[in-house]
Amino acid sequence: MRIKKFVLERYGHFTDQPFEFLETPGIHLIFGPNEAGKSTVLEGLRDVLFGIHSRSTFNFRHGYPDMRLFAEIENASGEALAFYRRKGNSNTILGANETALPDSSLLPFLGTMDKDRFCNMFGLDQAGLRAGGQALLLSEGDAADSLFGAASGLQSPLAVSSALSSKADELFTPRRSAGRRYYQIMARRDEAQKELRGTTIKPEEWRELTEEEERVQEQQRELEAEMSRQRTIQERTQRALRVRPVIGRIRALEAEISQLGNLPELAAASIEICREALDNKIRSEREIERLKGSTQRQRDKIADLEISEELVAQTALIEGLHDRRGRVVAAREDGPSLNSGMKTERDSQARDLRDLGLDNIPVEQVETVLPRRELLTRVRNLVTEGTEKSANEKNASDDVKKAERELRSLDEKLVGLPEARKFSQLEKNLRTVQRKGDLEKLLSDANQQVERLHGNLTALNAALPLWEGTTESLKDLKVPLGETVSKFEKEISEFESEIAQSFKATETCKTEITHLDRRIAELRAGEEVPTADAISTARNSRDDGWRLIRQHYLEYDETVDEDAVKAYSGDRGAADVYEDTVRNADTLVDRKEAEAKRIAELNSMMRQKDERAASLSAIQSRHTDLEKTLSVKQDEWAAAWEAATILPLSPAEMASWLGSRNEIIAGLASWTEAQDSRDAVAADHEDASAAIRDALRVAEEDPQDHEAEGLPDLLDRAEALLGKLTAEANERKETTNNRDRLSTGLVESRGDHEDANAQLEAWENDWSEAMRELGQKTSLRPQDVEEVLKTCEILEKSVTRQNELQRRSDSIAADEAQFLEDVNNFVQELAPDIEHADPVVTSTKLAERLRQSLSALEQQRRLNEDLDELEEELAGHKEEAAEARRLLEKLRAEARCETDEGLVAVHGKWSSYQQLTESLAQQAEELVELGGGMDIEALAADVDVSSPERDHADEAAAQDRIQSMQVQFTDIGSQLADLNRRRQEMEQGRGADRHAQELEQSLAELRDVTESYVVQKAAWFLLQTAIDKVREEREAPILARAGEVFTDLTGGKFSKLAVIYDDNDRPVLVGERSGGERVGIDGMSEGTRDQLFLALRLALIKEYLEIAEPLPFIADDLLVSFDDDRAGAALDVLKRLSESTQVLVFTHHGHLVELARTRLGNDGFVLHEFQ
Amino acid sequence: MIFLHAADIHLDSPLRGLPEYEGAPVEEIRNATRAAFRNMIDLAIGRRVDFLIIAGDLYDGNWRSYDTGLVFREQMSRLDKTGIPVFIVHGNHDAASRITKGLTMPANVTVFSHRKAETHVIEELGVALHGQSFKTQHVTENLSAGYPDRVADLFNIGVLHTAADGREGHAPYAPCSTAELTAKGYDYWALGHIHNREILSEDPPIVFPGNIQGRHIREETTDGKGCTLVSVDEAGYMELVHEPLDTVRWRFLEVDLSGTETIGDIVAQVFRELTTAHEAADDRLLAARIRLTGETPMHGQLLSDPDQLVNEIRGAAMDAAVGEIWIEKLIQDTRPVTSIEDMSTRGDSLGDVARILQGLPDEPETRSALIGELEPIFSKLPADVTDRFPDIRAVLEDEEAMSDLMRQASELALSRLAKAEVPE
Repeated sequence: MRIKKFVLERYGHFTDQPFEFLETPGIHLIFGPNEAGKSTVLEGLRDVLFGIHSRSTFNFRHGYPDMRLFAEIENASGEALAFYRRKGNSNTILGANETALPDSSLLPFLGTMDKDRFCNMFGLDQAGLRAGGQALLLSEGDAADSLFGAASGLQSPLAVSSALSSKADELFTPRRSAGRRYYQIMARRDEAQKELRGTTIKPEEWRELTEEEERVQEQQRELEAEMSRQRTIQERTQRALRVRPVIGRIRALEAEISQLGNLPELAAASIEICREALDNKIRSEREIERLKGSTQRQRDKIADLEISEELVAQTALIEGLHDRRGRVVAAREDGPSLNSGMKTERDSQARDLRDLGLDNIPVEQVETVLPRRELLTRVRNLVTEGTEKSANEKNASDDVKKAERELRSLDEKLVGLPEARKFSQLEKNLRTVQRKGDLEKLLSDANQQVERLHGNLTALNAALPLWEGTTESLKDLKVPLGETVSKFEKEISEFESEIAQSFKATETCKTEITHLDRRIAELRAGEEVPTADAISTARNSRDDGWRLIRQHYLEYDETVDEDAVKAYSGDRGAADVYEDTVRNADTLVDRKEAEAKRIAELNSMMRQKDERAASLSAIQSRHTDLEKTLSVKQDEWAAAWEAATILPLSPAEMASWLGSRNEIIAGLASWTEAQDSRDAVAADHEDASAAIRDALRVAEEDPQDHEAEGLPDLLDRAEALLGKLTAEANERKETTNNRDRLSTGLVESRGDHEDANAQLEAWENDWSEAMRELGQKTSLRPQDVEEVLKTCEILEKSVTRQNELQRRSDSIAADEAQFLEDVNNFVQELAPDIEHADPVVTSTKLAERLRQSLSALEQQRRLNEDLDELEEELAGHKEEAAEARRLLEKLRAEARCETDEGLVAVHGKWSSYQQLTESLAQQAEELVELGGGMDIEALAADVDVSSPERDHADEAAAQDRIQSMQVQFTDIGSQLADLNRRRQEMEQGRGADRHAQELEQSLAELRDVTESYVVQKAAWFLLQTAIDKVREEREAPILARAGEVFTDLTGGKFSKLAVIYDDNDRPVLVGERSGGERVGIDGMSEGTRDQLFLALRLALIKEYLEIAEPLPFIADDLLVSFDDDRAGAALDVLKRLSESTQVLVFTHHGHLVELARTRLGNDGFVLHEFQ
Repeated sequence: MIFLHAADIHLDSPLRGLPEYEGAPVEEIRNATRAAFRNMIDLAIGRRVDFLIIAGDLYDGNWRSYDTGLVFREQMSRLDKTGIPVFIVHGNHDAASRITKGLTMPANVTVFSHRKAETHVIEELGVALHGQSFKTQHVTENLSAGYPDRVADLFNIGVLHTAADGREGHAPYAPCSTAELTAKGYDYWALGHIHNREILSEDPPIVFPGNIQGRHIREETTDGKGCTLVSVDEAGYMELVHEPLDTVRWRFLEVDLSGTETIGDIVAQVFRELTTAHEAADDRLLAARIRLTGETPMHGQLLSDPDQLVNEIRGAAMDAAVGEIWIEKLIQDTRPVTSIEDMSTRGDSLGDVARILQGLPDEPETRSALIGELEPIFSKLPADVTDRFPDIRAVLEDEEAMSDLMRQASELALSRLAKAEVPE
């Protein structure tokens, strides 16, 4: 592939920067000064071929969506392609007509090459060159590394192999090493195993523990039995010592009781009852004597009291007289003030009569002249009514006058208003037009819409490719359906994709055939294979010779002709000749043997080549078929458009064309529709103007011709006129209504005035009548009559008060006369000795005498009550004394005694007996307690068989024995505790399970480390093997080719390259000087190493060019570190390379251009300069 | 009537195949079988079962520590206190176990004789249990043939430790067929020995309940390891319910990495799978083996730096559930975007290397040379590793395994060689 044209349309800081690379042999030298953007051009060149990097940094001027490159390229078969490259994720290749091309479009030009490989292999700059030279030095000339490492764009095989090996060695080496993972894990595994053994609890261990436990428990049981026995002895002796004193005390008490002799059996309470009866008897007799004296003294006091029973019988009457005496005394004190009050009233009444002008009437007859209460009320009402009636009459008169004035004013206004005109038609037409909206604007908008749509339509129609006709004829054009187009698009795209795949397969096949050819040529280059006949001849010759020699020299066969021997030996002697024939036969056989393998491989390669050739042929045939089918399909595609007389583009493009056509047809429909709408609006507009003009003519006072005025003016005029006429009509209507309302009101006001006058006259009559009754003049006016009314009221009240005072004075005199009579009547009958002239004094004395009699009577009642109580107490004591005597008699009988003294003696003995038996019971109880539940007889028997001394001795012996056994017991307890602890430890385990788990974990890690090691080790081994084989296979041709280039680059200083084995039997690359001297890589200068690297790289490229589509070699300021001689030589080499493929040399060094000119001549290169 | 049927307790045997690493839940994994066993006893007491059957293999045969037996006895005593009888046959592991021989059991435990098959009747329940223990580890005769005839009018249960008619991964002990067992006329067969739950027959039920705790990845399960709870109503109708008892659950997860482009994508994908699996494990600790598959541009890088990958994935496990996931093993089975076959047609040196690498597996001398390179590590490996993980030697013995290894190693070598060409 070579680049014919390359344009940086929008990329980095460039806009439309072109480069044209003419098809002339030679180098393209692309020169741009510093900062001109050499790197940008280089990157653009890679991007146009392989796609713009997703994070490209060349978007500082043209953003990602705008970035674009163009290239025109041509491959070795002469196929060409012009395309654009845009930035994106898919469809980034665009054809000349901007339609997307499949990614496979570039396959015939780039093959399977990708961007990274392209840069590594076909791109080289100064830094890469120097790094490559350095890599050669680092590999110490390792042949594989030198031939297939950096020079071919790979990692150093040596370094990769070494890394894989170290990785494997980190995990494992056959020799034990603590640093290796494998051995670290092994150590953990061993540790876990050891721990597991140590923590495993064996069944025997458990059994031993159990047996030991049983033995110690048996010991413990025996000890417990002996201890129990000793404790029994100890308890018995201690008990005997405790109970012995108690038993002694019991025996003493029993002796004392027996000395008291026989006693009658007495009740428990007898002694107490006896003592109480004796006490009661003595006390009662003493009390009886005392009470007899007291009753006699009480009776004497009662006999001495004085009481008047008649007075006591009249108590209520006497107390009533006493109360009336109080009231009489009070009335006597009120008399003077009553008389004075009556006089004051009479004086006041005389003054009021004078004021009323009734001086002739005496004051005692004042009641006869007082006016009636009803009359006074009526006069007061008339005074109020009079004021009201006068005011009503005045208001009615004022209303009538005001109404008459207003009516006159309205009549005058009506006469001044203008004449009425009709305007209903104007209003109706105006509203109708307004409801239709802003017709003027609607019409203008509709016109604009029509214009706009028409403009668009014309533009779209003009822009539609493959079409010259009108929009209407486009609509009627017979075109294929969208589905048909999609079907063609899919089918053609599938064919194209298949063709691309088949092309790729062809390329692969060709590459394989080239490899096979190369190998076949190498195999064929060997010597010719000895034929079977040649071997047979040689063997026959050998056998013939042997037969002669055997017969002649060993068997001395006389029949053998001397001449025959001579003829066989010639002049050299039979042995020599025979040796030659033997060697010849062996050599032939050996050669055949040796060449047979080569032949076998050759046959295999030939066979493979035949197979590949057959595949290639099949693929190519399929490819041709596909292309034919595609061609047929494309013809069908064109036929589908014949009816439309259109020569179609690709289906994808025509799908887009159909879309545009549909858009135009839709636009045409919209335009027509807009025109119809516009016409409708224009008609409405015209109708509206006419209607308004007609209405104006009718309504105007002075009708005008408005034909020249537009609709907006007409509407304004009509609106103004309508406003004016409406206002006038409204005013006239309002004035007429007001006048009618006033006229009705005036009639009503006049009626009201007449009613008010009549009511005023009726009141005047009532008033004159009332004055006459009151005794006043009828001419008296309401405002003057108030004084008369007040005086009458005061007089009336005074008469009432004076009558009341008189009634009270009369009542007091009557009460006192009655009281005197009652008092005198009573005293004469019951106490004539206290009678007095004043009944008040008499009644006071009578009351005193009654109080004395009542007091004596109360004293007598209290003394009688006390006497009753004394007699009751006396009777009680007599009863008690009798009861005591009866009891004592009964007790004496029980105790078999005659006297009370004897009774007391018997009771004393009985009491002693009781105390002794109680003590005995207590002692017995104590004995039971101390005896630990044994009965008394048993205890007594137990005590009697021993002595205190012997008991003390036994007790001490038992105590010693127990103490000694307790020590043993503690010892056994601790043994058992220890055994129990061991038992628990075993039950809980010692962690064997944990160590078992750890062991499993270490085994798993060993598994993992082994698997990792195997992969790394195998990778190392296979890489080593593969590299060695590649080297064996490819070494010779590459060395030869690179040697030639190296000779040219070094100007003949080196004649060739070779691989030799160094001291470590390692194949290393060396250069051979023309004099035969071999120089290792470490013996070369830095510049020579760079040249060697370049030579290797160019040799590999030439190899590639022979088997695959050639690609341009791009050198980026590659020669700057070369002196002019070396640079010149390098230019020569590149020029030779340019005969096989395009060579683009970028530089910003002017002197290199000059050097090229002198070295290659003007025809030897093409200069491209850019700014 | 309700009873519990369990088998293959393998009390205190450790879990296998779990490499230790920082953050691995080491403590949580200890005593998993013991915890599962306690769960079983809790279940028996909680559900007030009428009796418990253990159809063999209480202990691991080569497990010697006696505390394990004591733990077993302690749990049996718990059942004794609540009045639940236990019927046990000894299996091949018990016959080999030294613990079995020395341990006395509480009164509620009945161990079937190993001399001949015998019958124990529970009068109050109307149940007859028939069984025979293994006398030695290797019992190859059909024990079931000697089992007594059914007892009329009782519910008959056969308790048997057997490999039935053979199961992969299990020694073929006490062989018998489903037809033979059915022909006995028993109402229920309580079997043991096979570690995966399996119901050989519905009528009568012939049941392997499986072991109560998975101990390695081959005992993977989604619904848990446990025992079978059998309820029998008065009409003889039976209901069988699997009751999970395990505390650690094993899962083999395949994670498809197609479409991933960065290590972050891969970790996120694995994280999603782990989270889902952990949620499905019902609060149990998850022991997961992860196999990465699919075509990814990260293939070469993953091969080049397996340590980084495994650390990232262990980190993802920590993120998904701290202390509740243990990554047992990571298998990288992804494919590169560009195969060796594609590479070998490139026409450059890398293409040459790829072409040669592609042909190496067909060369017997290269295979044997490679085996020679790998031999030292295998000859050093202790027997307990190769016993535990027999597949580890597959590359030496199995041609296909060797081919897989060579392909993976070739891809690793190529990716390292072309590293400069890996897109950024």
